[in-house]
Amino acid sequence: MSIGGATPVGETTHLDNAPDRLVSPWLIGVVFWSTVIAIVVLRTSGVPENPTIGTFGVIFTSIVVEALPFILLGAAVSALIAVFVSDRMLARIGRLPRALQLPAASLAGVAFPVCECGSVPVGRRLIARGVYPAAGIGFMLAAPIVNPIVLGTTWVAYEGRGVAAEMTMLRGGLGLLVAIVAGWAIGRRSGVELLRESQQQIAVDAEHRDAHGSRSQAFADHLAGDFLFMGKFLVLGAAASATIQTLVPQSIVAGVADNPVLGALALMTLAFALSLCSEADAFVAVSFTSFSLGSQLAFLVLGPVLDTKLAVLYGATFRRQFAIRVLLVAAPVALAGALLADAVL
Amino acid sequence: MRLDPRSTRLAVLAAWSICFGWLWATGEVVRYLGPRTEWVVPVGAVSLAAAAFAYSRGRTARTGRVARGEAVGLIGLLVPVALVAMLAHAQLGSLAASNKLSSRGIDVAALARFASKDASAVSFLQLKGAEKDGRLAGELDIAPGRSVELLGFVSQAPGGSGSLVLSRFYITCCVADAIPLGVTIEPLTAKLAGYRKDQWLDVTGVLAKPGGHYVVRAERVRAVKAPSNPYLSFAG
Repeated sequence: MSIGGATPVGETTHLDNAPDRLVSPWLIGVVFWSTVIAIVVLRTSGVPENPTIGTFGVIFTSIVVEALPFILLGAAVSALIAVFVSDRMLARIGRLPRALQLPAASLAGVAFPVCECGSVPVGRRLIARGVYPAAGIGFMLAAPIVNPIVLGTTWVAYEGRGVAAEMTMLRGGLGLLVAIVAGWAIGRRSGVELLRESQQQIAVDAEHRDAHGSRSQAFADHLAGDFLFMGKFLVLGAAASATIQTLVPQSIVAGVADNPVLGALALMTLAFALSLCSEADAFVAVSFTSFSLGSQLAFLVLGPVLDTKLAVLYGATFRRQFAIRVLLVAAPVALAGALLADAVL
Repeated sequence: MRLDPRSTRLAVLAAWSICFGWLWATGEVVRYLGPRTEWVVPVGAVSLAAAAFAYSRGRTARTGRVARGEAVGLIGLLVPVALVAMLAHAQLGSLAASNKLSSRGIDVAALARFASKDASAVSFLQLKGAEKDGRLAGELDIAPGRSVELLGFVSQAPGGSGSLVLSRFYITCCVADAIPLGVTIEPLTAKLAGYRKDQWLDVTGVLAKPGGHYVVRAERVRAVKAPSNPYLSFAG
């Protein structure tokens, strides 16, 4: 999600202006009609009756159908914040005593329903505006986990398993802990030492402000941009989950899943690779029924803090090795939390 | 319609709105989501239509073509829509039952107790719950000798012993987290040979409990069409 037009809408606006790598309308038309014809041919030829295709298709589609409206909801809230809420409100945290800034900023994430892509530009702005860097990082890492939309979707996803309250509280608590520990460990440097000068982001922000007139239109543009940007990552994640559930025999999965440490590490690796939006990842996590709830918790806590798309965003926002530092702090805390959760659940 | 970036994004939003609307109107949503989460489909249909309408009111900063990277993402977003159109009657079956999931981490007895609050018939969940919880078995009057009728698909075809496994998937949120629960069907007066995997059967028989697990000794077996909603729910 974007705050201030720094990411998805910015991305698309940036792409609008790119002089090369453009797609012909004819090609889009050919792809569209080829798809329609392929659907008709495949449907009449009985291909959907194939167990592998049918199983993959149903699982894949169900994850996307279930999660997409939540992505839209998150995009709407993010767009509201981006268009109607001044980030000066967040900068008030910078006036608090330093000892309070880190926990206060991390807890402030509860009130800001943005997922991980939106929290990065907010964190950058906070630090650039003089907030104690540890607090900026704490907010950036906590907001995608502890905000009400993410906790709400976690509740909905785990309600049927009878552990909605436990998983929601554990996710919120462990997410907060990871954010505070990472903020404390990484954010003791100055803002200048942490932040990368990002001319591109500054230009995109300005471009976005210039490109759109009314606030309502800016809201609609943010909403659509965020939704389409995050939706493609959801599709990728759903495809990976469906592939595993369709093709990997239970015996192999069980071999990893039976070991709590290996299971948690495997799902954390998957969370990194899948790059799911935190507003939808609970629906994917709950589908890994072979893995323990603790391992699923590790998936839910690490993914919003560090994944492949975040690594790219971190690289564009912070100086070198920031993503590695986050990994070195967040992964052990998430793993310990997962093992503890397995012991109590 | 021009295929500038805004129009293309608008088309994707509209396609998803139509997809949600179709799932809602036709009732096909039950093939993907459980009763707890079905509500997201009408919400998705309406809110995506509203988002598409609002987005269509805007002016693009520049006209032009869609960039390659964005085009790939937008096409990827349409793949599930194409699959919904292609897999109109697809459902999980024996492959998913053997490969996909297990009931590990699930308290079957607690779920059976919850699901049985308003249930009149004994089904797969109640039988599995009764295996683990003797008190639940007493409350549900599940015991060897009781007559039961089960509707499910063949997840394991008849083997050397002549028995097969009949299963149903139970959904919590969506079919991705569906869990197969199976009951062994043994021949009594009905023959089981010849039935194949994924075939839907209506089995009537009596319960037996050899080795701590309930089995159904079949008195009558009928091949039937798959029900319009092939899944059961833990919600009862």
